[in-house]
Amino acid sequence: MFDSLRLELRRGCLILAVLAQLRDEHYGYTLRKALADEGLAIEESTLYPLLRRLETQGLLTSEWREEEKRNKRFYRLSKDGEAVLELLLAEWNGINESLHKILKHEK
Amino acid sequence: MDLLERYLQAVGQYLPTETKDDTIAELRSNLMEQIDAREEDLGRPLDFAEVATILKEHGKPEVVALRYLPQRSLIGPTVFPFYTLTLGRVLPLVVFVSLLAKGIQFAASGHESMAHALGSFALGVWYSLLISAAIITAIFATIEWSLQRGKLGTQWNEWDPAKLPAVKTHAAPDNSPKSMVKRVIDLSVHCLWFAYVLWVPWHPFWIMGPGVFYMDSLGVTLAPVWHTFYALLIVLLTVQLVMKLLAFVVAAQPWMQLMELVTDLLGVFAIGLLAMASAYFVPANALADLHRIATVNHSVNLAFRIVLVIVVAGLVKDGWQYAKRSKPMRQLAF
Repeated sequence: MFDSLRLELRRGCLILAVLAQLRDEHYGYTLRKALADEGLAIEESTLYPLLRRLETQGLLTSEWREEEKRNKRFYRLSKDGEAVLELLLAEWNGINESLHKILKHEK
Repeated sequence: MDLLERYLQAVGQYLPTETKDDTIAELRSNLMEQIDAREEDLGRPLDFAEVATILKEHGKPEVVALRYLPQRSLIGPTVFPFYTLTLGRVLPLVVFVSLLAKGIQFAASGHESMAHALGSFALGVWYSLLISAAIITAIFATIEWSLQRGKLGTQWNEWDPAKLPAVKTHAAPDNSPKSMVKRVIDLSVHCLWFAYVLWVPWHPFWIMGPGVFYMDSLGVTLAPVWHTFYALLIVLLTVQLVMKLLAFVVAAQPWMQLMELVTDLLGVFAIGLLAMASAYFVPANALADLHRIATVNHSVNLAFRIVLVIVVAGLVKDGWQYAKRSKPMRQLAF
């Protein structure tokens, strides 16, 4: 029960975190590391397909480039992605503030 | 790196051809990066078991590949409540129509046994239910498909609150016990009826009228099935008499409706006994017209089969209403 609710809660947050993190260019592995360093660990099998989906939706752009003698796919927020991220962040802040107020009443 | 390639090959088997190479190349690059980072931490190349551990953590090939596929559902969460609502309304109707059709067929056949009729109904109704459920599923899958592609637009979700039907005023079910006067009258009438039934075998004129003399002239008499029916009728009337007496006991009130249903069932059983019989009148002497007796028996049998279908339908209706009253209907939560 808790696991499925936790998964539901995390799903939307992960998308927001990935979009925000990709304001700077990353490839899959370094993005995962960067998110983990910030305390948001994501499984590879969740993150990589998510990147593909966000790219299909036009929120990310990607390009194959050689770095350290290895071809890597770099992702970055697209123009549309930037606009959507702004809207999502406004929504997130609204929810966050409301939740804080609600939780304060409980204390 | 042989193990990594084997893993990527296994993942690739489940990926769509058009994106397979690209996805595999990206997976390879990310996994190799992970392996490199681990090797850098350890200061040596990874052995077979260590690579296997990384791949195991990454996930089972089929599961990894499935996450790259677009999310698909035959009937999505928006349409699903309407789908279950439709199934819930249509499937009981299918059972009722099948039962009715079988009943008509049974009454018309004149020679089909009750056991055979029930058996063929039980088998046939599953087939009807499966076909109906499949058709409904196909319709809703089409609706889902159309919604996903924006072919239905927003029309399907448009509605006008002003067009909602007026509130229905349901008369509250009368569960209050009958008044004392009504219960006394009920018991008295039943006692009179019981006495009449007990008295009439010795005075057949009071049930058949001049038909008694007609039967004598035709040289026919009643078949043994009437004796069994009479015994059942006495049992039924006795049970009903007990119920009429129990109606005066307050503690028995909650059970009255269920007991009425049980007596109805007994009544259906008695009618079923007559419907299953093939001879109602038998020759009393050698002068009887056998052909005419056979015709009369066939007509009476047909009449009892029709009566049986009607009383069974009534019993099903009463049973359904009793079940509905006993158990509150589940409400759909959207």
